[in-house]
Amino acid sequence: MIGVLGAYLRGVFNYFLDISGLLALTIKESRHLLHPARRNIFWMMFKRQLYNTGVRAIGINTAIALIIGSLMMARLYAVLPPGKSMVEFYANFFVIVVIRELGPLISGVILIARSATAITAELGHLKLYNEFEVLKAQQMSPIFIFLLPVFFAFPLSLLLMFIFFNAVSISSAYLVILLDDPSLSFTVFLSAILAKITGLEVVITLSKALIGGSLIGLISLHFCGRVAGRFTDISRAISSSTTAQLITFFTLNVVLSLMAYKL
Amino acid sequence: MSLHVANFYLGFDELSLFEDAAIEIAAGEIVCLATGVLDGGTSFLKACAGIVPFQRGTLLVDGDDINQLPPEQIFRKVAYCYESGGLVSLFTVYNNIALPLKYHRNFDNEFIVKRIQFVAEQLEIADILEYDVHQLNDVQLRLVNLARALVIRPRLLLADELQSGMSPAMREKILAILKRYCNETGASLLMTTTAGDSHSIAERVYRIENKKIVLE
Repeated sequence: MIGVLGAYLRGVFNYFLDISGLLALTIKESRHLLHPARRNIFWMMFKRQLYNTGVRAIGINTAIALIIGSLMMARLYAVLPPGKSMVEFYANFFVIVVIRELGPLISGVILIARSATAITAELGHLKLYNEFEVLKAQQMSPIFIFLLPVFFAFPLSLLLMFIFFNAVSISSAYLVILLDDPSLSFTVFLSAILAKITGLEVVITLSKALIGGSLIGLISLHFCGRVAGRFTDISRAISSSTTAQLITFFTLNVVLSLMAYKL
Repeated sequence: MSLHVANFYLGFDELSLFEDAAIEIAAGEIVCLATGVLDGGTSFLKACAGIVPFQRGTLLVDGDDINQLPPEQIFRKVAYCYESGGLVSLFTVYNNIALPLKYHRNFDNEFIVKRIQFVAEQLEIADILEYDVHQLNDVQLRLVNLARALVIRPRLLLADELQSGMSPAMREKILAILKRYCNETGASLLMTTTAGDSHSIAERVYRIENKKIVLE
């Protein structure tokens, strides 16, 4: 029993050590960005990653934001007293529920489900077929070519997804409110929401995107590094990384929200 | 560029491939290493390119210990052509050839395009430069590997079973290109060969026997 517990704790300790090592290695390899030609290679890979991760997620992001924004407002009407101007209440509710919590969480889940799994599969494939060795044979850094663009593109994509999600859900919520209160102008509604967004709100959202996105990327890279010689190693890497990413991202969100808004 | 290998030991886990092996190649020489099945020819070439670490021995490229050379120096001196694979599947053929040059050298784009086009036309692969790697057959893969090596203009070229699958005419054409390259640049060539391959351009042919490299 003690042996099993020890092995588990050692595994957890090694996991955190690996993630920290990977972070240090990624930061170290950023030095290549000072080399103009290498910066061009990075830029090519970064744009590809940002397009795949951020831009191509717009469709699913829009669909979910429309549903969440309109559904929440529709449900809210069911509990609000009729005939009363509730713009302040809507705005407050929106900032607390959607902008603070749901937007980041759902955007993170979309990033994990759409892009992190794809990156784990893609890099796992490269590892399985010794394509990292090919770069090493050309004296090129695989960390710089493949991992650095992911490390930088994931947080930026997540931040863009947060902003996009919030914009679409605000619009869809407004459309639902119009059904009940056609006199409410979009400017008034938007101003009420913006008035509720404090500097702390911005800092926490940025932290969730930047720390969360980086961690999601690093966890994908960590698990693709575990792919050895079997094809099933890739499936295992995807499964393990998705679990770890969901736990990490939800924990990060809860911890940051509690620290910022509760303590 | 010379290659000096002495007292060379290489193995993986329990498998020992080379014990006290040695080979000497002078600048500008073309040498073939006839290999059998799983006798370590590929691993030997990879060790010479600094890709696979060896356990013991001396491996000097132009008098410099390969393990002490910085990556940029290895890149300029040594190029290894894979027998299979050797390309990154995320990139097109062109990018596979161009990226190492862009990564290590500050050549402008126009210069890189011209150099790649020149080598691609020589090797008759100009029409597949925009292909993805999965669209290539085995011979094309080897030719792209060779093109990537030639655009670097290495001083030591290590080619692993390059001739496999080629027609006799194509084989002679490629060997002539390699011979001309070595004559013009003073580069050395170490090429592993297998049954049916031509040794016509080689000044010496070695083979692997009892974990050593012996003259044929």
